Amino acid sequence: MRRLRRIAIGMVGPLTLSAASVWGGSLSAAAQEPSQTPSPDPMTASECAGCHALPDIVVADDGEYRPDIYVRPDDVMASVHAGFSCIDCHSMLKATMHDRRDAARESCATCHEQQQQAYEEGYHGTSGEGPRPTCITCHGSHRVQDANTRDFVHRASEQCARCHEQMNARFMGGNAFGMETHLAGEDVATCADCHGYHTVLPTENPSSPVNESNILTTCRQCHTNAPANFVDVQMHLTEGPIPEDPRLRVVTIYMLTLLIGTFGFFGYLTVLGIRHEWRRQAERASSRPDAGGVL
Amino acid sequence: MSAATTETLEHPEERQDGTTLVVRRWSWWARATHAVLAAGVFGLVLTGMPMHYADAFWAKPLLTIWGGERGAAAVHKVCAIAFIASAVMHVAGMAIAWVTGRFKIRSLFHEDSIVPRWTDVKQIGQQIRYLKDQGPRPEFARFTFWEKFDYIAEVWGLLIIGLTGLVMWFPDRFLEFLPGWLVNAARIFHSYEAILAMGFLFTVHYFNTHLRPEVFPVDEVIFSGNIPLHEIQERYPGWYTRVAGSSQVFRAKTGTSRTALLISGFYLSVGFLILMLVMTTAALEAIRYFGWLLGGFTE
Repeated sequence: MRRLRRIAIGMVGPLTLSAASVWGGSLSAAAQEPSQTPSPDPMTASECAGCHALPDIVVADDGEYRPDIYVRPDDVMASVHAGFSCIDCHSMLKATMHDRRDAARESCATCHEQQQQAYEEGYHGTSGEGPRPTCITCHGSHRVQDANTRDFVHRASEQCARCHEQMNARFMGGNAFGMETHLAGEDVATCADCHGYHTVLPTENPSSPVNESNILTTCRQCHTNAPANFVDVQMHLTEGPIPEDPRLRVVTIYMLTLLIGTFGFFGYLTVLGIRHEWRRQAERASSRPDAGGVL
Repeated sequence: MSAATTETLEHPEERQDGTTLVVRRWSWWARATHAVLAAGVFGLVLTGMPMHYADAFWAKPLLTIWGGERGAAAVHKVCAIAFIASAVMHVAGMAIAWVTGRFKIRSLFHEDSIVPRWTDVKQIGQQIRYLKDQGPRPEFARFTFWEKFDYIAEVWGLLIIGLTGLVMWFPDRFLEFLPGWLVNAARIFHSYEAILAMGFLFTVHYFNTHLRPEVFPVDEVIFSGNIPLHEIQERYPGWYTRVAGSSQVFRAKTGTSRTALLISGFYLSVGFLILMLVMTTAALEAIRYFGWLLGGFTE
């Protein structure tokens, strides 16, 4: 807090007032619209914005840029939580700096208790190992988006790829859905559609939607008439051009050979043809000195 | 428009009124089939390529033309129907001509048929020697071996692309009797065959038709259906010996029409543009894959 105060007063003090009035003003403008969300306390927001809405906010000690300290007013205004005031979520904020991640998770649970419980049951919850995503990894912190859109689901899948790099590459590399995921296609399934969300479980777990016993049901969420063979279609195919499945490897190598062979042969003929044509044009030009022209 | 009206006539059978002796190379039905095929293939390429190379920089802008990925998928399916329709038109045209007696099955085995013969294999070697100035020009019949390849590639391509496309369009139906891996195989076949077909059409096919120096920028034959006799003499000497002086020769106006210029100009420029974009992306991908191959098949 001492640090923060130093920034506010020492470095950007004169600007504080104007920035505060911008953020505070826009917040109260949003509050005037009919909304079921609690009306913000403009005073609190302005107070926080006084420092945190300044784009060049830095920690004075080392002069290093701390993006986490800066809160974009645009983000807050575009959030579904736009009507909330800072301390509604940052409830753990006391007189000192807080552990941001845990604070956020706790805060979300005060309203979204069910989702938090579901999350804890999954591998990403407290029982899992290694670095794990929390609420804000997918949902964002200051710009919380409506989670019921396909656009949200597709952007959330980019977060999965940050850890599950290989699975993501194999998903993109050759199944019917992978490539279109780049386009955030509305009709295209992505990570969460098959693997679930909040309660994410390893494939071996019998409750996992991609477990052998559940996978056909999962396919049938969209492909209502999916026959039993549907589950054999590989969704995580290959990272590179040549799949590991020996049958698909044969198909790929056959097509690559056909491709290279065809273009090689006709490329060779074309080069010969162009060379021949040049010589013929040159002969014509020399035999008809009056011809002159484009070629 | 024609050069013949302003300059001296190159060939004795040409007249100042722009007419010359011609032979009908493509019937109106064949030209209509080609038009449906060309439009269908263009729609398929312009919607399919941005879906396949979805992460390329040009994919999203191109898809916005079709109203996003959903629109592109719909247009792709409509064009697929046009593509299949062109094949149906071709087969139906032959069937009707056979019923009415204008088409005989044995003509398939005639020298001037588009069906490949042993002669074509020999002419490949002859053509290479000719282009190297080591031999005479092969006595090509009505269709050269590369024109026959065009045709065979189209039939082969339609079967591969059409069948695999249908598998991906109706996976529920096909998976009732096909194993699951064939759907993955279908996608591999479909995308490679599409790149092969597009690459072939927009280079080899273009360069051998409209972009030949003699006819640049447009070969009128696919619009009028008529090929000048002097062109047959030069390009298809074998056919010329059979057709010259026969009742198939008639006098007609030749020269580039404005419509032909517009249509072929559109197809050529758009075709080249998308080809360049795809080739850039494919080359970058190939470089990345090369690194991946060096790293081994598995991580």
